[in-house]
Amino acid sequence: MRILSDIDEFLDYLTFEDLKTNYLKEKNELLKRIELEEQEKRVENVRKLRSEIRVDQEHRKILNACLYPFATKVSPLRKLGYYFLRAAPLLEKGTSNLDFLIYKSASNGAAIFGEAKGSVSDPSQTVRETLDRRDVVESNRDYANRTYLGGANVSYEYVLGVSSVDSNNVAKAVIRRNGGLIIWHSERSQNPQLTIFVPSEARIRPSMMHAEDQLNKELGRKISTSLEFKTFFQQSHIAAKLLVLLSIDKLSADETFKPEDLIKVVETELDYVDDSEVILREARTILQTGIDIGFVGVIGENRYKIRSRYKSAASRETDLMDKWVEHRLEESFNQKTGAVLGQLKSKYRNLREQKGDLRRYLK
Amino acid sequence: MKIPPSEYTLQSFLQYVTDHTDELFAREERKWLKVYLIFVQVDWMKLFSEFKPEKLGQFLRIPIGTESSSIDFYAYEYAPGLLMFFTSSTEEDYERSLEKFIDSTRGITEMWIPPARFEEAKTHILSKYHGEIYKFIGRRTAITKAPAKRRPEYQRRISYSGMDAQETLKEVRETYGVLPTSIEFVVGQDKIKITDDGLFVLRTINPRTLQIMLDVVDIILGKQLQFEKVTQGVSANVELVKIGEREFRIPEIVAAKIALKTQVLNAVLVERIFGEREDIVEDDVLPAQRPWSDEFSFVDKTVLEGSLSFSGTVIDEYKGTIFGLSGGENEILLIPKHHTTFESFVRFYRMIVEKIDNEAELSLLSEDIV
Repeated sequence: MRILSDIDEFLDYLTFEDLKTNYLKEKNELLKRIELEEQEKRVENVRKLRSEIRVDQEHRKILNACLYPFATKVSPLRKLGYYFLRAAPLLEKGTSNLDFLIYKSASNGAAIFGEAKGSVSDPSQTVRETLDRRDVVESNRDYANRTYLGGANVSYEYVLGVSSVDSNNVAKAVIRRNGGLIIWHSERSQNPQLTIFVPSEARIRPSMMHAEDQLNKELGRKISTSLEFKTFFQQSHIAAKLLVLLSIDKLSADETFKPEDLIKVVETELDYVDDSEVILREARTILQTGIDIGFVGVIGENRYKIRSRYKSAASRETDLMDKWVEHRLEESFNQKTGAVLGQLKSKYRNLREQKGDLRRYLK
Repeated sequence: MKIPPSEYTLQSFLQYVTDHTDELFAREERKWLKVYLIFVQVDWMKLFSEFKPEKLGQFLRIPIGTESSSIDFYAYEYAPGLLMFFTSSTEEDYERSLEKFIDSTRGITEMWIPPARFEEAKTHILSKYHGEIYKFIGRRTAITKAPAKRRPEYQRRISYSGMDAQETLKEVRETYGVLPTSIEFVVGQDKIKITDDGLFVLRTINPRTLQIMLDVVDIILGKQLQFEKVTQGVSANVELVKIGEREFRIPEIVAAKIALKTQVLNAVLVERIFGEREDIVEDDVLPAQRPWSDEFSFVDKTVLEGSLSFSGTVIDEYKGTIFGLSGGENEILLIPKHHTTFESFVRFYRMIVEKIDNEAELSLLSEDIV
């Protein structure tokens, strides 16, 4: 309705029939052209959007493989005293940050900052980016010590976690830069395992291994890990975060849900986060995006329902991703038309101004 | 079946039932005593509070259903977390009362008896009581190459009656890969039926059939309680750790592991588990095997071929549990995520055993077990 009244207002403003007719004609032509262009690029755009989701998924799975052994007490790494402290350290500072922080608080303790990469197309670039992020951490050492490590002055170590397929090339790129990053990789020999890349050159080895020998040994022996641990992280793609909506209504008799239900799930996903504002913000974003893309319907005050013709989570997942992709395409279309129509209006505003002057002159 | 109020122990309850069979079952068309073995969460009493149970010594009379139409079950806690439900009701009555309640309630499930335990129970009745099998129902649900001489790619259901049922069961097992899910025995003049869902039907009620039932429960009990301990031990918690002045929340996962013993997983099998691949059947008379069931949904899936690795999030469509799945060729990790209730893992493990590997083993990845 609002769009219509905007159009009406603008047409009223144009006053002259020839201007109105030309404006509408040009506008329709423009819209048709953009629609056609979008239609032609649709397959490619859909592919790009789905690829974003897949890249994020690969990233999450490697990240999980790096973190899981530090979140389960039976793991030998946990027994050595290392545990998963938090994901995305320094995120609250708004700086480019690494994916995780693992910590051991002992005299031989260490803070292990790490980055995970689902797939690596350009190893040199990946290594360069990770080293840049390492520098950011280094420049925030005081803050990190104070905020996460209780002021302890432990050694910092930097890890790049990749899949085994990429480990050799990434390690070579690190060696070319004289080390400085430890490579963990998720192996797929029979069952998922986490291990460490050990460089053959003695010269470079110390800078690509942990200070604690026992940790190197355990990782060298290969640690059983899991590609599943957290469904999403704060820095994950919105599509990953939306996954928690798939069965959010399962425990309710009337198949509705309350914001609290969602908050509880987000709290569990981000159980290492102690800032309730972060939890609320994430839950709000998920809910609002769900509504925006038409996957969640508002049915009353603080009461929501999943809008999908499917009941099973698996079918809903397809529906959810389709809706998200359509929404993004629509957004992109609206952005383009908004910009082009803005220019068109500005052109007709000028024409109208000129006409106005002419009428005054004729009087 | 109406048992008069008294302070019953298991023994006195069974004695009463034996002594008063005619009177107790006078109104029943079939004078059969049914005993359901049910796994429950530790604080199980609250599960039944809506039915206002009546305490009869060590027993509870639980009228399950609506006020106008309820079925009486007499419940006894045989071991922590294992209840025996005694009733004379028909299967239809069970389905609309206790089974319906189990399907829609978190924290309770039928005590499934894995094939190996079921086999032990069968052997015990045959050897100790010189029983004979006169009827059985068997299924082949495997989606794998579990041994079967003839057309192993098909699912099957066989129902057989005849006094040569014992030999037939052996034959169909070897030839068609069929495993029994329900066996009926005749011991002298007495008849008793056992199913792998943990149901005993005593078609003759006397001290001997009751003893057979108790024997079988004891045979399977040890392993079953261990199994229950594993499924109830899966958890995702947070440990509070103080670093300096600040308290941090440290995730603490206790996962479970299914180790495959006779089957190596591959991408095709995993995709079948995920419900993404159906069999291609040539113009054949029998339908293709369906991908798993509607009980579990799999989302956020990955399957990498070669050295197999796969992962996904599983949603128990009945009970609401959400857990992660990560594995390779011979191992599947179950990672708790949300709304965890133990029976989801019982049922998931059951599917793996029935459809992938009859000998798959479930264990808990926790310090006291490893």
